[in-house]
Amino acid sequence: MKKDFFYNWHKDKLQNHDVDVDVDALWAAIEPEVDGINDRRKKRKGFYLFLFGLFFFVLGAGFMGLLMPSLTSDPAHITNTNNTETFANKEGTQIDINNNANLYTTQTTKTSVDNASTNATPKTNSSTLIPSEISSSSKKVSHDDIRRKPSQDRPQNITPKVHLRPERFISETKRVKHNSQNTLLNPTGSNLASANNESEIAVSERLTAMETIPLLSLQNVSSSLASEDLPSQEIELKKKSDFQLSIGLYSGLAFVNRSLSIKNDDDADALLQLRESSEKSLELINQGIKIGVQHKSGFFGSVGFQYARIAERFQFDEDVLKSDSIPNQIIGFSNNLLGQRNPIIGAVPNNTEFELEYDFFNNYHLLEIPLTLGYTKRLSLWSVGVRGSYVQNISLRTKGRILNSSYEVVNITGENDIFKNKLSASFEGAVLTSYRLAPRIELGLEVYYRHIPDSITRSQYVLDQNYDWIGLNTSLSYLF
Amino acid sequence: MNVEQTLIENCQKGDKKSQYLLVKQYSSRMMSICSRYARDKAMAKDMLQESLILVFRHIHKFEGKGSFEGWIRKITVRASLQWVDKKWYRNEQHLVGMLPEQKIDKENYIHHDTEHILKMIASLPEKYKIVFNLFVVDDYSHAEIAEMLGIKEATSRSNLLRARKMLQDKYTKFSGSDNIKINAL
Repeated sequence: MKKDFFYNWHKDKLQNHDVDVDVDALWAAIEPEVDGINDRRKKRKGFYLFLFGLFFFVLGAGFMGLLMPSLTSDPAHITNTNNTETFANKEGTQIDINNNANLYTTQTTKTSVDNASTNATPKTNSSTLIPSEISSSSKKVSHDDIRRKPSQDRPQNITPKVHLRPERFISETKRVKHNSQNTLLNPTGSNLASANNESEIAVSERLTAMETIPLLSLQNVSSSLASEDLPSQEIELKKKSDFQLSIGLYSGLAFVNRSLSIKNDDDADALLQLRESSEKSLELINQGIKIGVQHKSGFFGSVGFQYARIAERFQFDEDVLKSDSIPNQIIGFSNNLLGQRNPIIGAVPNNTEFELEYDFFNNYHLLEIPLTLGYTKRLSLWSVGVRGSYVQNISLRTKGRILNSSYEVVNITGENDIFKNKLSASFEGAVLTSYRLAPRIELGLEVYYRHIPDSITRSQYVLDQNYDWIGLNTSLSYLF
Repeated sequence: MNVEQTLIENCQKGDKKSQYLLVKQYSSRMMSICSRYARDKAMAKDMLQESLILVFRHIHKFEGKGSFEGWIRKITVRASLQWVDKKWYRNEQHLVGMLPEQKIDKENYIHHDTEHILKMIASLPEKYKIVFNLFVVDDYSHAEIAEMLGIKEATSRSNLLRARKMLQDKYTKFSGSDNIKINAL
């Protein structure tokens, strides 16, 4: 409609019109509310920063743990990272079956040493003191192995000591500590060898003795113990699979953050304000079942099925004054000079005050399939980890009532024009911990954050309705 | 960066001093808008407070596209409409085309000051007053008014024509009585 003089004149006169306001009084009235808005915004920012930091801390801790596996200790009944099972022997000693220590428990009855180096003069280099090969009837051990094994691969409780047979042997070697390095001296005090650790020194001691006594035989103490003192023990070897299956049930509670926003050009601001003032988010509950598989490295994946219910309260209570007028009513009488009484016709006010009061609980029911990838680090009976999930919604059902822009209550139960029947994908991240109650039963606890990127309203509806929530899940899993 | 931009950015960061300055700068204009939609001064004050709170709640969404005053004006109008009962517009008879066009005599209007015009508009029935204000002063289209008030476009047009006719009658009547007063003196 083209605006003529009448409209333009009003617009010019009124559009830039100002009314004096007592600014201080006005500010005093709204200041508490403004403070609340500022505080809420700051809190929200701080909370997101905290979550972000926590996520990266746990992720960092996980990777640190991965890089430093020696920090963890596995009790006997827990599967260890070397993919072997450990068993307690008769004396309570753990034996790692995959460990190369069996080099030392081999039934080596007699070891002959090449006597070529017997007459060697003392030298400062320890490697030259050690024969290049110690040969036995069943095993060939290089001197590199001798030096490396005791400190790196040998189990703590199995010490492959070399027993020196000749009774005439008297060890007169001394150990002198100088500048964090052990120096081996022969009886005359000359420097025979420098060794970096005890095992090297031990071997050097023995070899020094070999140099002085030509007919020397070595016998493995553990083998002799096994053959003479202790009855032989049969150890069952059991190779574990790289993957472990699990099935679990979980349930949780979350605090929901709902955000309503206008789709185009602020056209629906009135409806937005109306819905924001009349609806309040309550809580979310969820239950589900998941089947997972975990690799020995700690990475795991799972798939499941879950149900979630978002609860909201719709409350609207307002006194409304309906002002109207009834036209063509007799509003008075006038008397003319002739004395005739004439009615005065006009409009009479017709005001009605009424109260609008609604109080309902609205529910949004979601059925979903979560696909999860994550990593856990085992620390004794506890484990900590992180996970990320892609959650595919398969159904959304709404139940309840909301207001439309005409203050009318609209029923949203079942099929309706406002909410979708199915949502797109959403994403979830969590930090989690679990405790092994029994060898095959695990109790889990996780804090998770869920974000649904798309609105749950249909495209033709004027408002977007988005959700995200932070929640706590507990789970109970059975490990196969 | 001009002063207004700085003020907005500081308000978005939650700086109280800037928020106070914003209230000081825009409250007079906002009060004028609220007064046009309110039934009385107390209601206008409530509308103004509500509008300012909405401005601070949503100011982080303002991205600098378009004029800030225009954005504030929109929020104020929408907040003011919250206080209006829109049920009056139902079952409205559409009179578009039924009201005769009245010839406008510009001389009838030039004497009126703004306060008097506001009083004239305030004396209109509320449903006519709101549509008139939305269409004429705040530049909303009939489609937008229909959406905001939950009515049909035809109802909006009809109410505007009724408001126009009633106002014209009032101006004419006022000018006549004024003339009589002047003549009597």
